[in-house]
Amino acid sequence: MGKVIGIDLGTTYSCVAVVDGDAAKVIPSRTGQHTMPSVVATTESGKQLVGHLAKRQAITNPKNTIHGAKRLIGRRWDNADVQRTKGLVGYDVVKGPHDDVRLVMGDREYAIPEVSAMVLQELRLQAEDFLHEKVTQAVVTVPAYFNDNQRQATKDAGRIAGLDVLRIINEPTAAALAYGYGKGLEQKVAIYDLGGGTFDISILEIGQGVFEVLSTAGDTFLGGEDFDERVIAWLVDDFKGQHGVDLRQDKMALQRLRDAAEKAKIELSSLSEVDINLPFIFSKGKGEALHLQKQLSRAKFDELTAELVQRTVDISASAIEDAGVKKSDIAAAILVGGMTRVPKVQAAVQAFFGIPPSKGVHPDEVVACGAAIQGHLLSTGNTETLLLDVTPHHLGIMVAGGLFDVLIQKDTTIPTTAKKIFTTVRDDQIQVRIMVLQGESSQAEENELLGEFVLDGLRKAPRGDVKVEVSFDISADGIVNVSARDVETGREQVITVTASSGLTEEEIREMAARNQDQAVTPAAANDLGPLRKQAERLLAEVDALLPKARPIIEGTDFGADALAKAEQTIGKAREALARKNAPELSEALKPLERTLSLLSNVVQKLGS
Amino acid sequence: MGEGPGEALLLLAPAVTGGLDVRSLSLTPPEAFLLSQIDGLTPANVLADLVGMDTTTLVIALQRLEKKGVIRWARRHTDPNKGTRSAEDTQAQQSIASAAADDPALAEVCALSRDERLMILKAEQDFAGQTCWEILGLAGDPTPAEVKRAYFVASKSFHPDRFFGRELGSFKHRLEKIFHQLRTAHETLTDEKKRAAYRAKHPPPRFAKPAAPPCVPGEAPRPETAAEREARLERRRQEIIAERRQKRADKAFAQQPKLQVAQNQKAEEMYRYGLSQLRAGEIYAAVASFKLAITYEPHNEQFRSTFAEANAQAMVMRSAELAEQAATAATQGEAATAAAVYRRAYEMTPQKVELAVRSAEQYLVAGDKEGALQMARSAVETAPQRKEPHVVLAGALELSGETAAALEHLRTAERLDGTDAHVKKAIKRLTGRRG
Repeated sequence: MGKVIGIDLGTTYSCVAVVDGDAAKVIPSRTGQHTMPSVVATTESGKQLVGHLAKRQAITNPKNTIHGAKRLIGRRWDNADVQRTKGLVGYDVVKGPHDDVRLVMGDREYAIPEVSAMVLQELRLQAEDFLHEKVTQAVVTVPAYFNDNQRQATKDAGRIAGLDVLRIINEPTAAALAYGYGKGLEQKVAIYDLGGGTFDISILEIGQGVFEVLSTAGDTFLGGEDFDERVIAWLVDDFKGQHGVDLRQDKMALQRLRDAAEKAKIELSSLSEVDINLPFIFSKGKGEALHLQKQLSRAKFDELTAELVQRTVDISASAIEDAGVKKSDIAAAILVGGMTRVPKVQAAVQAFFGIPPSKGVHPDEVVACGAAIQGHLLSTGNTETLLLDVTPHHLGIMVAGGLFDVLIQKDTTIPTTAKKIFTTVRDDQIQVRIMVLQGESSQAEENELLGEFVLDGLRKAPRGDVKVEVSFDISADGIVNVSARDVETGREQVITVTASSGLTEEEIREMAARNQDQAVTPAAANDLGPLRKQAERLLAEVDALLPKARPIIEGTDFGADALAKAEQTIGKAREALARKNAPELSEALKPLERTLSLLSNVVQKLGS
Repeated sequence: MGEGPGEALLLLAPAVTGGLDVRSLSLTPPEAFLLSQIDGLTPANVLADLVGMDTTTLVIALQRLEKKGVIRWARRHTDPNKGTRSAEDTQAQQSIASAAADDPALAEVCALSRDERLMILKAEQDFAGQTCWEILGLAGDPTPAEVKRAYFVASKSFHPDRFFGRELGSFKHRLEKIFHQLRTAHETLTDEKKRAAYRAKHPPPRFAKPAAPPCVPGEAPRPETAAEREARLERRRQEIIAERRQKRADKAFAQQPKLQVAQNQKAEEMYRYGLSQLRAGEIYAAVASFKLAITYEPHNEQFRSTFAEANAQAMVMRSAELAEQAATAATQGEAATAAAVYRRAYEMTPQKVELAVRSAEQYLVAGDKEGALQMARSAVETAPQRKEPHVVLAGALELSGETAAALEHLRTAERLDGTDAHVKKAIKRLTGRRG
């Protein structure tokens, strides 16, 4: 089996890592960068760009450049956050066929997982280039606060990019793993993760090589881009006051403002004051133009964003409370995400936890490294380190009166199960609709709907007489199974809550296939010739040996196994040959060689 | 179980009941000698050889011992026609490990080693009826930190992630259950209120049993853990059993009349060794031996016929084992697996039509139209005069939208057995739909 890569799929930047020997390390791009902008674009000529190239041309091509797709992934069209984002970005956001969100780029609409898949695919290629081997498996991180629909959509993005996503793990958890892996720590830690788009805080307990998540909290709409937005708003309002012109109406101006705000924010981490200089920001026609020139001090920046920082502190306090620990129990506060470079943020963390933030990890790379470590642990069957993750939201069903009845509390270690008995609420009620929800609100409709199903054929009886048992079951993979059983008759309905990413299975397959075509065509055409010859030769030999070997070993336990395996191997090789698929064929050759040597051994040693 | 015909009993292994003072019993010397040879693993037919009794005398003696409560029939050794052992039988096992060693789950098709399976089965059996303290291997008045440590250590052995990506079969569910118990125990004993309430009802034991497996990285040399010790003992036990079997087979081999059936000395040895394995109840091994003998002399008729006989027997056994596995899968709701395994069982013993019917039924449950149709058709072909194949084929056809054909088969079923209300109902339903 090949290596499993870890991917931090960020709102603004992404990063890929792999475990090499005992430690995880970041895989740099060919040009040496450790992170890649999560930006994709289509140029006028129809060419697709990903990463640095896409970001670089964003100013001149704002309408066809997509950034921050992570903010929309797995969300339904009518979600308030979607509507808010629509007004903030330079590209078009439209409603998709399944009440999902689509983005317009070039002459085509893209589903969000499809856009994320382009970023994942680029990282995958980067890893393949670095490792000199095919990469098919990955662990991908998401903010702890992502709900199941968002996680599923991320998983789907992986599939479209040709990656088998072994596990989706939480970013802070991954960071903790990278921080404590192999160090034999015994302590409680807080992971404060303020990234480009999201804020997450997790409290973990580490001991005996086990990483147990005690609590998670966060906000999917609180990150670096929001800090930038505050700066942009300040600039736009000021400009409007001066010139009476609303720069938000001009997509190119907005993109320039966004870049300038981000740059100013970064510079303010080391300078106390920066100049923001955007000449020719607005054209009045007839060669006349307006220029934007402002000075931004660190104090002003802190003032503009004070409310955002305070929100992270409030959320941290609730995470501490949920974890059932005291602030003084926390031995280390680990900062993750580029935004934790902001001095005000560091000061806030220090003031809250009463300890200086830990400097041991690289804030941009630690999450990807943690993901790579988890991938390594899972794929190698490691017995010394274990991650005990939790379900990040309450899970339950809607009950009478539109209320949310929780069966599994948030922060419950998975895998886990729960059961509860409900009764009918109307006389002669013959069916119940089970709506599976996830969220924090006591009002059902304010929570995320994960799925629904109906249990019918109930006995007609006065209300409250018929009992229905509802069971929840979350596997270690985070997959939720819900069943409802008529206690009297034993009649049962079960669904696996495949949280919906907004795409149908068919669409995902189609997109994955399209992606596959693009990725392998040129290389495959070149290499097929010699592979094919070799495969045909091996198959001919195996075909000759198999009838001789079969009667010798057929009846034995070992033989039945070996024969089945051999047939499987042969089948695979033939398939690859028929499909003219070079990568598959080259993968099929090794097992085929092994089969051949096994069969010839059998015939030589046991045959008469 | 003890009143069956002697023939069936010969394939079972008697075991000594625990907690009896043998000296208080009145036994005849042959009975006492017989008792001394009973180890819970050796089937009665082999015991007959060991103690030199003929089988009838042996069965009578064993039944007498059973009546006195000295022995019970513990182990279904090689009899494929019996159902699974009763639950009470399993519980009655004195040693958990030996019970685990008997568990049909050890023969299940899944990607776990024998040691891993034993570890899981043992924990599953141990935890049933244990207190939270015992589950975590705690005693005295452990601090929350100690509880946590014990929970962490145990989690590393039993969290499903440890076996990630492997086909776990029924063990997936077992692991989840075990982990759930660990988690609940940890939760109960670390939450102050819950712990106080629990403690009032279940005070902690004063001394811990040999501790749970501490496997902290980098702490070499470390003492052998309970699980490892168990695994090591189990390996040794298997070795001893294998040695004993070997001895038995060798002995039987030496006692055989030397009738030369082969030209080749080696082939002769292989063949006769196979015969002795057959007598020792090692049917699969015997089949392999005969097969080897045939490779030396492909045209030896005697070899061929003996092999064919043994092989048929082995197929029947294997098929029964598979059917059992399939039934387990079916009860766990893994219909697709159940269907495939029933199918394999049926392919080994095509005379057993009911297996094809089961398979088709499970395919139906799993929603696999193709599979259901195929198996149901095959069942109808084999036994057109039985009702069940027609009923299941009707189900499969209905699922595929071929209502007319479904109806036809239901009518056939009704003709074969006019008393089945379900069939009548189904006919009504389908006719109604067409009209």
